[in-house]
Amino acid sequence: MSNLTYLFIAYAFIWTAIFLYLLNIGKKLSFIQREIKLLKEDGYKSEGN
Amino acid sequence: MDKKYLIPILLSYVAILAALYFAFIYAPTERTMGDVQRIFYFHVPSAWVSFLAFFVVCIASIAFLRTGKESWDILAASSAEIGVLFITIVLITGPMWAKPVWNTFWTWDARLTTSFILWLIYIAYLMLRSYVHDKERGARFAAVFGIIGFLDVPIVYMSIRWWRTLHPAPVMGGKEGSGLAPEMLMTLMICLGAFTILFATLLFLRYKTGMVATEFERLKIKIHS
Amino acid sequence: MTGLKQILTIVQKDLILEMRSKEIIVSMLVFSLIVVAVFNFIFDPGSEQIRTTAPGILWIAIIFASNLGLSRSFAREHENAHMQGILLCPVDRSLLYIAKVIGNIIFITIVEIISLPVMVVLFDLDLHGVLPLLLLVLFLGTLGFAGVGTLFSTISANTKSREVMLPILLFPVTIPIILAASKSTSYLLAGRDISQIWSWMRILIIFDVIFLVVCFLLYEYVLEE
Repeated sequence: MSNLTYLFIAYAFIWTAIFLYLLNIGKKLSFIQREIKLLKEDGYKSEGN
Repeated sequence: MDKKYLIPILLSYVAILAALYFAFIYAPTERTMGDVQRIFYFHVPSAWVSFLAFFVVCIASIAFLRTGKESWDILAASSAEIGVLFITIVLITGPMWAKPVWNTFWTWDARLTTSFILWLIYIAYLMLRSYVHDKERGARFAAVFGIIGFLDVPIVYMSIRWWRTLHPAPVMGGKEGSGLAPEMLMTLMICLGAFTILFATLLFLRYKTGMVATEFERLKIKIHS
Repeated sequence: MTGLKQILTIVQKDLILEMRSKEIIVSMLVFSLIVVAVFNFIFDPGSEQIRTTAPGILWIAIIFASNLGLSRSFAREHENAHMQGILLCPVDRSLLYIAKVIGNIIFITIVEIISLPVMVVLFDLDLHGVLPLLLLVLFLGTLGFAGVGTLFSTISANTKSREVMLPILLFPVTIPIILAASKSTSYLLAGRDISQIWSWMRILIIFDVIFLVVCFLLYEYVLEE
């Protein structure tokens, strides 16, 4: 029984760690892409003026 | 999300599902250690991926010092981050396996100790990256440290081995290739493959993010000037 | 000017500077004595444990004091922009590394020469017949530590919170040197067989050579362009 607990903890840690890291990258990427989009629109606007 | 990101993610998703199937259903239960031995199938691949990642850091660092191209620096930073992630997994899952089998969380055996020191070195590497004033020079510092850090791996391993041979080490079960059933070996290979694909995917995503981020910085400067 | 003369000039400059303020040597010395004193309280008075752990304490005192001295000397150079001054001189950059290593070895050796007799008295060590070999081991350990330390302190002097950064970079990487040096010392003081002592000293020499060559080759990349 306790053996399975260790097994469970180990697997839980592996997948949460990888998943959180992936989530972190995704968040960063979407944030930057949004910022770039805003910046581009800004740039075009000021060029238009 | 972009299609070019979706394909590697799906690919590693499928690979990991297959690896899980092999680790839990295909592989037989180990006779003496029981089910807890199944940690092995992801513990060893994590160790492999972290070494691979630190190797990439070293190669990218050398390439950066030679060419001075920013993309090599971004690759090294990305790979170091992923390497730290996987070596942390190794250091957490190792004791989880050792406790029920050897009745101790930790022994100062060569492989364990080397992993721990590697963890310290690459945490220092990531800290160094975030503590520099001048970005261009900081990249060179990181590259120099990345090269020395990787060259240190065999040196640390050998020194710890010499140190340990003088003290009788506890009997380590599951030495590479010794008495591993063919199904288990097969499962290990599948898991190694799956984690290598996962590593490539994570590296690709992290690298692209880094590239986009520098592109963003450049754009910002261009627009504001 | 020949290479040797250039090296000697830079070393001389560092020594004269230190002779004026004595800031680094004094702080290193006091610090190493404090380490020795503090470690003494871990053990019961007069216990045999002190003698067996004395080599370890000696090396801890040396590397902690060296760490302090290295970070101080490069911080001073950074504040007063000495490095820019030297870089403006027509001095070969790789010679600069050698000069800096020699300078740091001199500082550390002075600290060792003073704190070793203190330790001999406090811990009642018997150096009869082992002193020449012990000095050689001290020199070899100092050589390796100063070799890596010189490179890393140049790096850490250019980061935020440089006092913290240096040990974080330096200690994990130099673990093999510290291990080999403290093992050689403890075998020597325990009166072990010469072949056993030599096996650790040989490892120490190999590590010294590897680290010095690599740091020598990489040093130019951490200097300002």
